[in-house]
Amino acid sequence: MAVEVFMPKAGMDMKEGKIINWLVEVGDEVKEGDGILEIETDKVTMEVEAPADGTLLCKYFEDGATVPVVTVIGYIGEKGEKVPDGPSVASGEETKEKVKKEVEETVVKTETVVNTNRQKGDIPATPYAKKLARENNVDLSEVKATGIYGEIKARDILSYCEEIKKQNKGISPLAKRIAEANGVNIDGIEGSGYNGKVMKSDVLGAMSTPAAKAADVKEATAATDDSRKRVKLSGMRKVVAERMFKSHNEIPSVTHNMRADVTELVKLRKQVNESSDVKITLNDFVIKAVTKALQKYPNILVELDGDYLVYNTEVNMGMAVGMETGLIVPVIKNTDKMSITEIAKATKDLVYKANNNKLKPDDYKGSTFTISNLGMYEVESFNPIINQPNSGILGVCTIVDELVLKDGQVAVSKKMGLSFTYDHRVIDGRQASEFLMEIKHILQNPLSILI
Amino acid sequence: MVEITYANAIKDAISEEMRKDDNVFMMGEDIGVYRGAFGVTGGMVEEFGEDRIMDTPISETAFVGAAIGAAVSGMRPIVEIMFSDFMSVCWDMILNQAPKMHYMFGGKVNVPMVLRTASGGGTGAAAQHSQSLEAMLCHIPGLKVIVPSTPYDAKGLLKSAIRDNNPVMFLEQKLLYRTKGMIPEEEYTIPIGVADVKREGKDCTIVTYGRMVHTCLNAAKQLEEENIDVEVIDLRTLLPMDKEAVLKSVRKTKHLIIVHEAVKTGGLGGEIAASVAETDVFNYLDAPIKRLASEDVPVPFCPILEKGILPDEDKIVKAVKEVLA
Repeated sequence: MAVEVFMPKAGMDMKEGKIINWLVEVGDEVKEGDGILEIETDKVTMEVEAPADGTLLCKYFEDGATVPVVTVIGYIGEKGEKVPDGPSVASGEETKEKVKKEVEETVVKTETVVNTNRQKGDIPATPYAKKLARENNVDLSEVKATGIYGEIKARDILSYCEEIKKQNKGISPLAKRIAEANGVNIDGIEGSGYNGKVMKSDVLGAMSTPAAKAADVKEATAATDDSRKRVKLSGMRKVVAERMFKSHNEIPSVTHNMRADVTELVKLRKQVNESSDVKITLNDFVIKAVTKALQKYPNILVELDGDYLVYNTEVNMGMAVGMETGLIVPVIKNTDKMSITEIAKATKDLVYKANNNKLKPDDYKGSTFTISNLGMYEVESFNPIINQPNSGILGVCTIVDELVLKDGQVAVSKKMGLSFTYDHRVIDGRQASEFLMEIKHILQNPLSILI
Repeated sequence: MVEITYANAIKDAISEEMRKDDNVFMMGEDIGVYRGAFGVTGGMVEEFGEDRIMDTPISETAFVGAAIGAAVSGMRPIVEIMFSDFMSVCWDMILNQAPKMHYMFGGKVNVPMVLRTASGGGTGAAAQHSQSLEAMLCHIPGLKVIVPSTPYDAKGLLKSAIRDNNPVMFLEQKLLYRTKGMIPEEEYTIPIGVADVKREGKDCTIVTYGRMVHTCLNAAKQLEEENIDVEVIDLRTLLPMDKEAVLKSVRKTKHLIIVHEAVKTGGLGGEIAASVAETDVFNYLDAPIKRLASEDVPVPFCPILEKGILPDEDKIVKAVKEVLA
């Protein structure tokens, strides 16, 4: 009996995945657990493992195809075994078209379902408010509720309409996202919402009109004339862009810079590495030092959740890993319970996985604090962007030799730059300074890191 | 216009109809020389004689049954049951006989009977003499059910009831017998099945009937001082109910509160609420529908407790504010 290979759902919000490349060909023998293809989700790239021993009998999708999650993409079984006629029987071009259509349909379907549900059930609104919303094409999810049970009342719809009237042409956030994701120019779209507001259906409609298709072709031609290279955003780039923009937009951040004398630390590391099997990097020392500082100042591990402050109790250290094509932040969990050797091993492992697209979703979730280390690049200070939902991120900068006066003598001291960026909504300058001083203090007295 | 009490308005309605139509007569306990338990029939036996103002033994089944028989034979009897609570002892007559005959005999028989009875509490008369049982009657197709709130309505509706060819249950409100109101000197009737807007307003509809009409009007007056404009609809007839009047008002005010003295569970409030919720007027509601009714308990004898279980002005004012919040 042939076993299905399908597009995995590697996260609650994953809707589709892109096949980067198949690692095996039809007819190849595979063993259960072998990587048989690489996929890219909107968060990460990963390998799909063979679900059983056998022969790869077919591939329904070629490299580069984007496929909805849990869609069957191939079969593994005994040689010669019959498999269902899939999209793979069609010629390449047709397959692409079909896949594209299916994906679009899935996307549209999901959006519609979500929206209907919200319209009908999830947003409490009085019948009259709903009636007014229907009549004025108002999306209830955009209306502020003032009812005593948290429901939207007629007055809320009316004041929303007033508000829209005051603004010029509007667009609903969902419509905006769809338009941006599909490169649709909204200027040309006639809005069907209240006061000409562009709604989701308008954008989808514009995407399916012949004019839009013609425009696509035109744009493509224009792109060809233009000698500049145009690359569609990869899933990872898109995620990075969205997250950076969101964090930058939402958080009033402040950065404090300090310099720690790491002369002793550098010496200590050398000594440690002489007697240790595992090579311990300066970064590992910094992780442990920051962990210790966080244990002393656990309020830095705070998250802002609506009207609440949520205090994390675990020290889960996010480690920004820059790659050629993007950025990912794997998480070393519970660094407060780990020795520096364990931290060194875990970090090495995660960085390797990150660089080889082998990170699992769990590997980059749950951070409570983040470190971004640019020390190897002669960066002397920077202000990193906070990795939400964390409230703080430590930028680690390069080490510079400096002349200092020590006991009246000129001496050379190694100074490491530390740039601590924090969310001023939840952390104040005083706490931030105390926390950063603590890190500096630990780094300057590095033996405490080992204890 | 003349001022008259609720009790006298009822007496006048009966007397006028009796003078006009010899087939109209009355039966009941102590309605002759004793003038009736609430003094409604005072002086009537003197005018019409004992053949037409007929005292009966304490046997409701017997005299209600006799009235149904008389009605079937072409008379137009008016029966008084002293307290509406006692309808239970002649329930078969009310449930199975009077309302069914016209239908079961293929329309060959009419039962032009009026059953008058004193209903409601607030008098310290305890659990067996204070109930508001109109919902039970509204559950019986073939009956008409009227609960008048003013002398004007009582007289006009009772005259229509006497002239109606179907059994009509006329639930008088004990606490209203001594209240006064203006009525025209000339003759008038009020059609059965038509509600009356007792107070026009734009912010919230209160649907009520009977004695609670006055409680609601007083509450509306209080709310007026706070610029809340309440519409009070007096249903007057509960069966058949003037649902259109309710729908029209709710379409205007977007808010609905129902107030009645009967217990909440299984009360008319649920029926009225459902009548709105099952139509397109549902779409005009801008707050949940609220019902104010008696607690689901036997009416306590203790006056303080009795007051406590009933809707009053304060509770209505509070409910209106909640609904409009």
